[in-house]
Amino acid sequence: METYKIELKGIHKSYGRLKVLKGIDLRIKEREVVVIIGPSGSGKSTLLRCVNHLETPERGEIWIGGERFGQAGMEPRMRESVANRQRQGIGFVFQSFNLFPHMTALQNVMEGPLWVKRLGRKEAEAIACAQLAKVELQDKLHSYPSQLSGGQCQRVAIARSLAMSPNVMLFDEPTSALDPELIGGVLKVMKQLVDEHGMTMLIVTHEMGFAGDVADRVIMMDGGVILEEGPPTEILRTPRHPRTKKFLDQIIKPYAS
Amino acid sequence: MEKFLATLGEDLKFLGPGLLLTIRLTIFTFAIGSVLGLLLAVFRLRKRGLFYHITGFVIDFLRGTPMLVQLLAIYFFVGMYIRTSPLTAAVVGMSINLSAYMSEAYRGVLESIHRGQWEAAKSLGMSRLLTLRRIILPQALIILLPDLTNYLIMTLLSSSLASVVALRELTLLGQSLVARSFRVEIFLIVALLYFAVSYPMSRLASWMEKKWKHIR
Ligand SMILES: Nc1ncnc2c1ncn2[C@@H]1O[C@H](COP(=O)(O)OP(=O)(O)OP(=O)(O)O)[C@@H](O)[C@H]1O
Ligand SMILES: [Mg+2]
Repeated sequence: METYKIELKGIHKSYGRLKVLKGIDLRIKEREVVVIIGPSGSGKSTLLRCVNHLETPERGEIWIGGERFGQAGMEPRMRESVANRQRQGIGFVFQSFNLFPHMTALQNVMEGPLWVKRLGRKEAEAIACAQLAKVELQDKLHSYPSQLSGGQCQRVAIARSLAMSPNVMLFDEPTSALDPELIGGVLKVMKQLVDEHGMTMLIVTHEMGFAGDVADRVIMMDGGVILEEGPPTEILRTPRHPRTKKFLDQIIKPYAS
Repeated sequence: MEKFLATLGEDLKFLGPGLLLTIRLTIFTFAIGSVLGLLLAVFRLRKRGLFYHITGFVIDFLRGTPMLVQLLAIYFFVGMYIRTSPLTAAVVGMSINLSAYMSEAYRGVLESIHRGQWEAAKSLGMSRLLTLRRIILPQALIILLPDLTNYLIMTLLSSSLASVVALRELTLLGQSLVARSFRVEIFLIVALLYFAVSYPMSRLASWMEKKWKHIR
C-alpha cells in the first residue's frame, strides 16, 4: 500500500448555508507538487485552509504523513494542542503575506524557532539568517515590513514558514497581490524549493507558466468539487472539460470576456 | 496680586499633600483599572457563553450610570458591611469604572487587528495564548498607547470626584481652604495644579502618536 504525504477524504465545508466544499478527495505523494486552479469562489482557499485546519471541515478526514489531522473525538482543548503541533510541519503562505508588522524581517523569521520550537536565541537567529539569505534578503534583516516591497514581504513570509523546517508547504495565491515586476522573484524562490529540496507542495496560483513548469499535477476546481485533474500538459493545453477550457481562456485573455 | 503671591507659598504647602494623594489615587486606579480592563477584553474575545453576557451587562451598567453615584454607593453601601477607608473605596470604585471603559477600548483595538495575524501565528504552530502575548497584544498596545495616556489623564481629572467620599485629595483640600479663607482664587491654583500634571501627559500622547505612525 502506498503512503501519501497529504490525504484528503470526502472533505465537506460550508459557511452557514453556503456549501463551499462538496466532497473533496485528494492524495498527494511525498515530493509531489500539485497546483490548484479554478474560478474565484470555487473553494480553493478554503480547501487549502482545511489542510492545516485554519478551517475545520464538517465532514471528511485529513491525513498528513500518515497521521490523522485534528483527531476527531478528542476533547476540544486537546485537539487544539495536537493541531498546533501538527501545524508546525506545514508551512502556509498567504496571499496578503501576514507578516508581523511590529517585528523586523529577522524577528519575523525567528519567531517560530524561538517561541514554538523553543530553540536558543543564537540558534534561532542562525536559522533565520540562513533562510533569509536563501530568499536573497540577507541585507534586509533589520527592515520592518512597512519598509519592504510586496515581493520582499512575501519572501520574508516564505522564509518564516521554512524556518520551522516543514515537510509540506501550502501556498494560497502567493503572487496575486504583487506588482507584475515583483512576481518573478517570488516564483524563483518557490521553484528553488522544488528543485533543491523536493518539498511537497500544494499551490493555488494563476501563474500558468509557472504551473506548467513545476507542477506534477494540476487540479481544476469548480463549485466546490474537483472538476478534473492530470499532468499540466494535459490540463493546461488540452483540457477535457469545457469549463476548464473557458477558465483558461479567461486567464490568458481577460479582456475577451 | 502681591497678597496672592504672599499667601501662595502657604497655600501650596496646604494643598501639596492633596496633590500627592490625587496622584497616588490616579496611579493605583489606573494600574488596577487598565489591567482589569485588559483581562476583561481578552476573556470577552470569544463572543459567547455566560461570562460574556454577564460582563457585557455589567460594563453597560457601569458606563450608563454616573461615577459619582457609583462612588457614593460603594462607600456607603459596602461601608455598611465592611470597613472601607475613603482611599480604598475611591480606588475600588474608580478602577472598576475605568476598567469598563478601557475594556471596550482594548476590545476595539484587538478586533481591529487583522484576522491574518492570528492565522499566520497559528500556521507556525503558535497557541492562542502565545499568539496573544507575542503578536496581538504588542500591536494593540502600540496602537493604544496614546489612548492609554488619555485615559490616564481622564483618571486624574475624574479623581476629583473622590472628594465626595471624604478623601482628602486636591479638590477637597481646595474646597476646605476656600471655606476657611473665603479666597475664591484658590480654585484657580487647584486647577493649575491639575493642569501641571495633565499637560505634560497630553504632550507625551501626541508625541507617541507621531512616533509609532509607521506601525499603525
Ligand atoms: N469565512 C467565511 N465566511 C463566509 N463565507 C466564506 C468565508 N470564507 C470564504 N467564504 C465563501 O466561500 C466561497 C469560497 O471561497 P474561497 O475563498 O475558498 O474561494 P477561492 O476559490 O479561493 O476564490 P478566490 O480565487 O477569489 O480566492 C466564496 O463564495 C466565499 O465567499
Ligand atoms: Mg482564494
